[in-house]
Amino acid sequence: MEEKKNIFEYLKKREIESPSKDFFDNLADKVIEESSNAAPVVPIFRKVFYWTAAAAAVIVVVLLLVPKNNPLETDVLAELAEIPKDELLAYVDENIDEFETDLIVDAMSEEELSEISFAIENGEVSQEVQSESTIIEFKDIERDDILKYFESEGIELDDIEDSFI
Amino acid sequence: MKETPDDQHIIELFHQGDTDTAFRLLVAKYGDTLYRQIRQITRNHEHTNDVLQEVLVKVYQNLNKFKGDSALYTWLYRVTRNETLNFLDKEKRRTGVDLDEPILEIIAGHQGLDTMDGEKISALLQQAIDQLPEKQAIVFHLKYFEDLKYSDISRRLNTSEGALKASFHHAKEKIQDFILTRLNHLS
Repeated sequence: MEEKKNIFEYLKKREIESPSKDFFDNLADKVIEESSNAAPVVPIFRKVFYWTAAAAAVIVVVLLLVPKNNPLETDVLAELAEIPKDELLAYVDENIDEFETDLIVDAMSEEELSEISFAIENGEVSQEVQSESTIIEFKDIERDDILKYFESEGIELDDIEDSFI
Repeated sequence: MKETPDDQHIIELFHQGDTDTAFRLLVAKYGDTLYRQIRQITRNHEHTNDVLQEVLVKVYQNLNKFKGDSALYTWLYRVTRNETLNFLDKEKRRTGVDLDEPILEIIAGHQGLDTMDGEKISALLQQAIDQLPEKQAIVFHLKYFEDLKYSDISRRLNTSEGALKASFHHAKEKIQDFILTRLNHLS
C-alpha cells in the first residue's frame, strides 16, 4: 500500500508573474471611465416589475408557509407583511423563470439586473434586500396591484384559499 | 516606499463618495493577487485580463454596499472566484487558446504521484480546493500560492495567526486526503 507521504513535498508550484504596476493603474482608470460613462437608466416600469415579482412571490411563499390542513383564517394580504424579505428575494431568484422575462428586462436597467444578480451570486441576498436601491417593500405593494397580478395570471382567490384547506 | 492603504480607509473613502480614489487604492493593493488568482485557473493572460476587468467593474459598482461583515479580501476573493467560474463555464467549448503551463509540476519520488502529470495533478488540486470551506480555501491560496507571511494574512483577513495556521493545516490535510483518495481510485 502506498505510504501516506506529505504530497506537497513532491509538488512544485509554478510562479505566476503579475503584470507591471502600470497595467493595474490603467485597468483601474479604464474601469472608472467605463463605469462613469454608463448612462443612468430610469426604468419606467420598475415599479411594475417589483409588484409583479413580489406579488408572485407572495402567493407561493404564503402557500408554502401556511400548513395545508390549516384553514386560511385571515385575509391573505394580512400574511404578506409577515414574510421575511430574504425569503421573498430568494424566491424571486429561484423562480425567476416564472416571471415574464421580457417584462423584467424591459422594467430594469442593466445596472439593476447586474446588481441583483451580483448580490445573489455572492451570497449577499440578506444584505441586498436591506439596501434602499433594490428593496422590495411589501408595504408598498398595493392591494389593487396584487389583485391585478392575480387577474393577469388567471389566478382566482378561491383557488388560493382552497389550497390552504 | 508607499504605505499599503488600510482596508477600512478604502471602504470609508467609498462611503464618503471619493469612489475613484478608493477604487484606485483597492486595485493597487489587491490587483496583482486577484490577477494571479484568476490566471491560475484561466491560464492565459488575455482571459485573465477580461475576467479581472469584469471583477473590477462589479467591485466598483458594488463596493459602496459592502457592509464589512467579512474582510474586504474575503469579499474580493469570492467575487473573483465566481466571475472566473462563470467565465470558464462560458468559454469551456472554446479551443485554440494558448495556455500557460500547469500550475503544478511533480517531483519524482512519490509512487502515486509519479503516475500523473502536471495537468492532472493541477486539475485535482483545483478540485480539492473547491471542496474546502471558503475560509480555508482563502488561507490556502494566500499561504501556498501567494506565499504570504501569517502576519500579513492575519491583517488581510482580520484573523489571528494561530487560527490561520490551524486553517492552513486543515486545508492541506483535506487536499492531501482528496488527492490520495483519487490516486487510490486510479491505481
